Amino acid sequence: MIEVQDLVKHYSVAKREGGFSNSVRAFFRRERETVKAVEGISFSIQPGEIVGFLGPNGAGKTTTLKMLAGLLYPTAGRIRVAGFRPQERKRAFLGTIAMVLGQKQQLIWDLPPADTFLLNKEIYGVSDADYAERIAELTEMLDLGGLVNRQARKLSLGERMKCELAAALIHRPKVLFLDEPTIGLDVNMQQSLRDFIADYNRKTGATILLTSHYMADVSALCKRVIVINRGRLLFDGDLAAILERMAVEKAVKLHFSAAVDRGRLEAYGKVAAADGLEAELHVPRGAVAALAQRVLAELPVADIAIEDTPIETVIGRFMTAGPAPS
Amino acid sequence: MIAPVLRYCRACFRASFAIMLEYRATVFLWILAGLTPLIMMFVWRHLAADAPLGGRDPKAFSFYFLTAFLATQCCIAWVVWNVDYQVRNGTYAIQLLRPFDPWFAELIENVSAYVLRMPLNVLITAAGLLLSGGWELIVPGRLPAFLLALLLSWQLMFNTNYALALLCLWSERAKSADSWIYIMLYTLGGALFPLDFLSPGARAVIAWTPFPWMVNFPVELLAGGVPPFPGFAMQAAWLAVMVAFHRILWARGRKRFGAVGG
Repeated sequence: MIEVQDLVKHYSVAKREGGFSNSVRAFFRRERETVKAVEGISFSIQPGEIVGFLGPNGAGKTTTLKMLAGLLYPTAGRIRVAGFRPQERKRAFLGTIAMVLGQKQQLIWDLPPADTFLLNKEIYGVSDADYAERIAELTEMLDLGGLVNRQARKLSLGERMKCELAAALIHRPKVLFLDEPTIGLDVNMQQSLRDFIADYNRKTGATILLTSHYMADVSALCKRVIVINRGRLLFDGDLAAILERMAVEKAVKLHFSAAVDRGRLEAYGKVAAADGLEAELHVPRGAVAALAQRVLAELPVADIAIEDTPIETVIGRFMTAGPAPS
Repeated sequence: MIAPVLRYCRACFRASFAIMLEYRATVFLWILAGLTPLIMMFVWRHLAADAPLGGRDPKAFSFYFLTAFLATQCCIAWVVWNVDYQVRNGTYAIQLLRPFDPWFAELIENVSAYVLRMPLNVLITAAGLLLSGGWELIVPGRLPAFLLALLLSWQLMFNTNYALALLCLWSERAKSADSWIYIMLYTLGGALFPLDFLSPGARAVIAWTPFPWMVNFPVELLAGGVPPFPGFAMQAAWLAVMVAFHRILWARGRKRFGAVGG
């Protein structure tokens, strides 16, 4: 469904150092530099797969996604999505894909989402019967209820994101690009969107390429991940393999009712941070439950939170460990 | 191909018109922002109160500036501002994901604003012509040609705007072109003074720009002061140039477009 071979994207940006004199200098002589956003990556994705596309900020994930969606023109390399060259922007291609940008919205800000849905119905030539059926289905799956008749700007971030997804799926795309769809959402809303994406994939067989900074998104949805950094492919394979190797710890965040010194904490695990009333311990995954019981019993704990290692950290470790692209 | 485009345009119109209705007060402020020709009418009427100026009496100035007001109102487009804003905050990507050229969405947004604004503009012009006696200078047989000239003025300005807007695909900032184009429209178009006040040499130079054909030409056409066809030919020629220009910019600009922001 998606074939990418030796994909490259370079672009030129103006650069200058801060300060007034540099502003004046740049006015007369602007310096430019070439950013190598994507440097020869290759991969292929089968129909119906959900693949996590991971990497730290600035790795080239969104740039790659935008090239796959036909928004950006590649500098070099070959892309095929559903048999099309995205950069040609053929109508049939654009009717086959959808892209949801977590930080950009397609909902018309001043109108209810229902109006954006109707606009998309006409854009993609969806018949009245199909539209009615899909809206009913999306309303049920995403629990849209009365949201669609309220002005988009009056909706919460999570409600808007649900409507964004519904708007993007009205034409039932075969390929879905999701760029950080859960960014900024609370835990419950993240979970409900994850469930929806998994359901949608099961029901329609759509191919989904997902970027996210939330480990939970990736682990709930993707069997396979592609990791890139500085535009180069570092890993393409099973998520389980990379997590097994790298996400061996969890973070235990503690708030104390009375100050606890660092020396005392070192008996419980690796101390990542300690500030009297707050501390963060890194503990092997298998030992978390026992450790939680111990600290609750032995230390003046006012609050405790157990978190997965951030995906950035896992990827950071992965890169330090000296990966070998597969 | 035509049916999907028409369906898309109809849907865009509904959405754009609904937004315009949400912001109807702003639409009327746009009319107020375009009152300069009417202000100039009072200035020039005052100057010609005692004796005709350049062969025009107060009634002739009323006719000139009221019809110039209508012509400039047909030339208001905020495409440069729109595209500049979308490119800089990254939402232009949403337009590019649609299986239609973004030109259609901009055109229809422009149309929906006119549908809301033009009845009031026509009312202001008609009332002004009746009250000032300027209507006596209208050559009734020229009305259809005048309307066609206004239509071409609108398309010429819209496509000029669109061409400048596409410079955003290179610079990501084309908003300054927006101010420039309206200064040119008002000065070289004849919305501040009748162009026959200029020297023949200056008029000859200005005639090679698109601006006099947007305002001065329709006004003089309605008064029977100029023959229709050289003016229509210039409007059509400039329109063809601007459409060709933005097609080239679109084809090349897309390859350079940075799709900034996330």
